[in-house]
Amino acid sequence: MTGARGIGAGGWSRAVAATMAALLAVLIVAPVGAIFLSSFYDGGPSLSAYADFLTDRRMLAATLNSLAVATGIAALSVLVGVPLAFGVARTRMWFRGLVSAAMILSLISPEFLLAMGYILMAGPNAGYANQALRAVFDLSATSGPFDIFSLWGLIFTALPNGVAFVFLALVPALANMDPALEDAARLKGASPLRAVIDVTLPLMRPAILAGALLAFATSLAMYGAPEMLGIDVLTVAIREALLGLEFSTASVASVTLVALSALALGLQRALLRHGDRYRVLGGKAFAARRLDLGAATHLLSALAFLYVMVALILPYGTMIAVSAMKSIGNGFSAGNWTLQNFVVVLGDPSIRQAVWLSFWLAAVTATVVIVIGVLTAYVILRTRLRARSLLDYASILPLAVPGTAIGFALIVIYLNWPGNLTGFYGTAMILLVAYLARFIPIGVRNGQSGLLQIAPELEEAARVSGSTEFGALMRITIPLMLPMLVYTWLLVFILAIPELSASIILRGFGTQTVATSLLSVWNGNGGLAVACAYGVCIFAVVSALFLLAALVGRRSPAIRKSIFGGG
Amino acid sequence: MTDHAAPGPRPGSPRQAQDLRLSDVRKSYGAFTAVHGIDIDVAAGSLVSLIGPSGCGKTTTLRMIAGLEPLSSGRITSGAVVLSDGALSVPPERRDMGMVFQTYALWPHLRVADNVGYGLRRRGMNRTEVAERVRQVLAIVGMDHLADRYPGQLSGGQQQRVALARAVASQPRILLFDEPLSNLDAVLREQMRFEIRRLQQELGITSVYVTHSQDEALALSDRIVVMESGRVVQSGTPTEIYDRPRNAFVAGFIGLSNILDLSSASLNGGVLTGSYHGTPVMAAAGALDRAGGGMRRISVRPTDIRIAGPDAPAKTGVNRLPGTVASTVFTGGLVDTFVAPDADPHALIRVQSAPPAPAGQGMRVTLEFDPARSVALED
Repeated sequence: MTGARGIGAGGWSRAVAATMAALLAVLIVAPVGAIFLSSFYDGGPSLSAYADFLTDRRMLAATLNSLAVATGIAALSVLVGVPLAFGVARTRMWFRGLVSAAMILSLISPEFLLAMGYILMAGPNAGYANQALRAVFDLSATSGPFDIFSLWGLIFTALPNGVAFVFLALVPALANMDPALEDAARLKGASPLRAVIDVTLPLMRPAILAGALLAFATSLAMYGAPEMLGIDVLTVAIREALLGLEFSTASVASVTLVALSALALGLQRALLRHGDRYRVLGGKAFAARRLDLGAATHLLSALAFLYVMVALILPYGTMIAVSAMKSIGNGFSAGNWTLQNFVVVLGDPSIRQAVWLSFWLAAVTATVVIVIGVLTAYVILRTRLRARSLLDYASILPLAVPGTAIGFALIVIYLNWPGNLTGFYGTAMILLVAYLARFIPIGVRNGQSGLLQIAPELEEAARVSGSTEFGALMRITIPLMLPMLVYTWLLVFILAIPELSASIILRGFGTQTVATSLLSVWNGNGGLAVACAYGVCIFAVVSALFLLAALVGRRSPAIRKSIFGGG
Repeated sequence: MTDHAAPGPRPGSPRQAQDLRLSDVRKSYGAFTAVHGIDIDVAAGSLVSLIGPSGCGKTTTLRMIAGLEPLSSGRITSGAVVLSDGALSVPPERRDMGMVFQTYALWPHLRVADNVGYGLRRRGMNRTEVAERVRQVLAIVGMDHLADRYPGQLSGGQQQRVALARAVASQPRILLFDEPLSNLDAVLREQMRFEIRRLQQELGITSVYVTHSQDEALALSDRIVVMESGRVVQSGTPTEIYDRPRNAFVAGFIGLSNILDLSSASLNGGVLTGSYHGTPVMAAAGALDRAGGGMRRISVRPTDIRIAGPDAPAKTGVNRLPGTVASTVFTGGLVDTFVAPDADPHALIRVQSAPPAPAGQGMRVTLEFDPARSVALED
């Protein structure tokens, strides 16, 4: 019998699976492998790099700093994020909408913008908040009381990002909880608050922990804020080592970083998977009641107000104000205002070049990522090929690999044979490869949640009606996934434009991206006010695009559940 | 052996109906066997129902016929065409079938007319031909006025009609139904049941219908195949299955049944005689050819039992069981009377009759039933 074959394992889907496997191998498995292999190589197999690392005080300090910062952020995120999530999901606290908006903004807005705002506010000498406090309390000191250039300063700077992870993991869990669980406690004599403490919070433990672990992992991976604040964490140490051509040091630092994030993310996944005991959703959507906590409600309102001010309005407000100042030293005074900084940003040819490159990189990355995402998700969910779980694991691997480590890995690959034959090193192509590796997980995850919303019968009906497997995908599945695909494209685009941690390692002389060029303006060759104007432009573009994405997202129930794929 | 499913004549033109044969079809998933080598013959132009409890393998069987599920072994053929032979399989798009899904599976982004016309376009008809055929088919199911709607704007019953129209539009060789009525409410279900039967007979398309509802199977089918745990338990016409169930499972699954245990049973000229806790009872032997060690079970339908007074005179050739009424339940068109027989006071025998209730709770009665309507079971 000619043309006979098994279903869902036809020649077409086999070819797709093979292509995706090859792409993921080149884009993801090779770099991750390179990190590990290079750490064991010193003219031959060797552990000398590890021995050197363990005796290098600077590296040990960087590791401890990374751990301290990530742990501090995770712990404080829970402390701040849990009451805010509870306030938004379950009480009549004020500022609920503002708090949610601040959370989303701190996830989509690049970390270095917030760092700029905090440095301008809390720099020990010239920070506006420090100046104001010294004036109000009539202090004679010339610095303080805040010093943002410290471990605590870094924790504070990255906190909004961590809080957002806890918040976004917790709000849906709280909002979907069956109110009968609390009612049962009330009938047994518990007060409303008692019921929350005895029943609700224990049920939320996996969601809280999952959020905290996500905050931990992303804090390990951040590069911009510690670099700007001068804190020596692992990501910064990797770059320093590379600048000093100490490849073996960089490789062990990368392995350490990847191992720590993988541990945190592995735990997080395990928590979410084995959450049956804590399952509060019986497949039925509940609308949890809002509790009346009396005066305590406004303790939460005060916290919410403080949070929105500190995490959103003050830092971004300061950045916006500074972007319109003639002289930073003259501060908030009459006659110190100008739009000249924006004219400089818009007219600068090197900035314009960086913006074009970032837009090109982001557009190509987003497009390739959704194609790879849809096809990989299709192989994983719709075929019975044995390789599909391998594709699943490979595609989420980069989540555990910070951009700095990916940057390092690509240097190793594209400087050595056979990667050097491509000639990618030092060109925009190596940036593209890095961006693809970083953002493929978003494509595959969103592709999977989009595909899960489409009943397989819709494709089967098309098959029975005479469509080939490919025809059914193109005419039925893809059109139905369209809102999800547009949303994912925009999301990747937004995240790719200000990509910093891999770009700073891989950029060449002619390949500055938006983030690296902003950092060099900030670090001296343009002035802080111009850097702020540049930052305001980035913030405006990113926010506008996210608004667009959110509008698209309204059209698909799958999207509302999978924002950022976290939680 | 022809090498693939031919596209058949132009859609819309009448054609010779083809039969469908499953020979020793088996499906296993790892260590679990969902279907244990079953044989099913569907005569050309007839409708056969596969019925059984969930997990009995009926849907898997249907999906194997559609080509949506590969076989572990066995053959599926239609006319001279081999559709599946072991793991080799003609892909679904070349099998020339129509299928109605339990969830309807209408494509939400396409209008009704485009849903129905999709398969016609795939089979190479041009736009005007498709439009004409779609109009015809939608008229047959009474949906031509809603051709421009999207599926989301239709009620469940309307969606069902569109799904039906889509399945028959291309005059497929075989029509498959996967519990198509289970998402409809009772009134609509009954109405659609007749419509499906009418359409299938008018078009004369060989059909396989999967259901777990005995009402649907009895009303729709030329033949019924009862399945349990991946095996065919019994197949036959609706009357055969209802009147001559092979075993207690079939008797209980298709219609209601009282199962009575007989001891010292003996077989004599097509009649089984035995003792129900001391009371002599006779039953038709059915397919049974031996008494099986004296222990036998028989099935008696609740509607085949008559309630008589306690002193009713004995009639020859009628089984009689004296007892006491335990309860009566009024269910509208019927009255259920539960009687505890004196022979086995722990058992309850269910009797159904037209209202009013023939006897009240606690009353002494005699149950009378015809041996010809009592069937000996194999197990």
